[in-house]
Amino acid sequence: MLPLWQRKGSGKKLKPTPIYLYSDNLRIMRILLLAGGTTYLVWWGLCELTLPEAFNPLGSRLAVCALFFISWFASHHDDWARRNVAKLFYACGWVLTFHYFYLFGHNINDPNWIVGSYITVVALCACINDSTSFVAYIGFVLALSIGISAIGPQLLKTVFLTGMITILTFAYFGMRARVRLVARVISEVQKNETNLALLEMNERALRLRNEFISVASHELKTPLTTIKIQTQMARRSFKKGDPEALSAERTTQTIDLIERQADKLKELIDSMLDISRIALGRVDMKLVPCDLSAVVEDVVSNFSETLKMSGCPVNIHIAKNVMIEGDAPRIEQVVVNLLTNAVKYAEGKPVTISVAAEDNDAVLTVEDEGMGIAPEDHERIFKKFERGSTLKNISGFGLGLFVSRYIVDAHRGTIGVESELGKGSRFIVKLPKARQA
Amino acid sequence: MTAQKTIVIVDDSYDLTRLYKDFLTDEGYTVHTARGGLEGLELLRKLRSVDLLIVDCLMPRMTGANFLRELNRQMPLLRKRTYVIGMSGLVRESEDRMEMEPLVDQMVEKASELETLLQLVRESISA
Repeated sequence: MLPLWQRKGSGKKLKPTPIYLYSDNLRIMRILLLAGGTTYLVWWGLCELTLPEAFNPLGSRLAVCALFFISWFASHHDDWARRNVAKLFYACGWVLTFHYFYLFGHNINDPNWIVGSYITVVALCACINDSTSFVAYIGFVLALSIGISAIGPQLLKTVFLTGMITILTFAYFGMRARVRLVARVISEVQKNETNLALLEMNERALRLRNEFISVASHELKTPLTTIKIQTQMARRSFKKGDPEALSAERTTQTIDLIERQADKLKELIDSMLDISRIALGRVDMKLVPCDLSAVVEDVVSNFSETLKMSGCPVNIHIAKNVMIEGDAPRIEQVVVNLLTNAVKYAEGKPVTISVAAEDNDAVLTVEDEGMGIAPEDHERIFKKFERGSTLKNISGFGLGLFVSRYIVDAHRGTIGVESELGKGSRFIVKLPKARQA
Repeated sequence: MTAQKTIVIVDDSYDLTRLYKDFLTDEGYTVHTARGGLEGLELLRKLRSVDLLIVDCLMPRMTGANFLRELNRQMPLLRKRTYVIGMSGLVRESEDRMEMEPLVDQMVEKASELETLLQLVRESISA
């Protein structure tokens, strides 16, 4: 099932269902059982004292008392009784009601019995918690009343009608109040859950953003610092009158370094710009027939210096003229991202790049023998700013794979990873082949 | 001048490390560099005695913090004798940086001024 905040977003209004919270229900029902039994015992004693002549069958009175107290006792010791405490309570209530009406039928001229009957029924009615038990209870009371009125028709003229109206009113309001209370509790719980989920989402987004800012500052600072230090070094050499400072070799070295760092900065800024373009939906891609093999070969040859510096031996298996319909610079970007990752995560280990044609797809594979990615991170690494837990200490914005997936998706292709921790990774990009002219 | 002081820089940024090395060598220090934690440990094992250790915070495979933990574990004596500077381009509140802070003698921003670097090195070695 979808989490609450997503369900809300689907346009379906959350409607709280009036159900009991089990623990609260159990507590309330136990109190009612004890109170019912005790009240009835006290009532019994009072009636014995004040109405010694009244019709008062001992057996049914004991049965009512026993039902209340045994149910209460059982709810503390038996799991079934705990689960069914509400049913037990209603059973007690119904037996008590029947008992009172029975006594009432035999003591119709005695106001004590009349008041006693109504107070009990009204108290029970106030505890009714849903429409089903309300209907059942009213049905029960009505049937009994009709039976009693058949025994003594004069009842209808005296207290029966007003009594029934009171019972029905109390039962209705009791039920409504109860349902509202439970509904409020449930909706509060649901609201809290929703708020909590939203809070967690916000906190996570904030943490990711802060992490991104921190990593971005680190990533941008490193090339800048390098350029700054290099220029200071050059100035120092000039000042010292170092004869080698202006040598062709030293100058080339300096220019190369500055160019490398500037490229790094450009790459980082480009990926940040890509993210904002993607967010705004403004990435233009022109899908025209292009040679994937040539694109990959170009990238690999441009990348040779980096590969050499990282000490990664490269195996290349590129089939000739694998044509796709694509945006060559963007596809190039995907290849660069994959190769950069391979070099980063598998420094000094072999990297294999291959391009092959399958039935309908052109397949690009970049495989390394590096640290690998845990299965739980396989999906996560393709998300914005995400890097697998094991990849945390590697430099980078965590945007390369996100951007790559976006580009591949726009080409109606797929990108995925097969990897295990410690066993290297294989990134597979499948792009639809160009239609034959 | 007394015996040359030895500095070890552990940082994955090839160019920056090389520049720091050139500069500090010019200033009369013996500088060794390592491009990662494992290489750094190997180097320190060989050197046995170092006057100053400069460690980057974010490095592949082994973070600066993990490198220092390993160093504490494998070469506690060397760690005790050596002044360690943590260098980071990360913001102060970053988890990685905060994790490293208690493990170093001093935590600084990555030096982007040669003078700052030199002053830092001088103060640390005399400390």
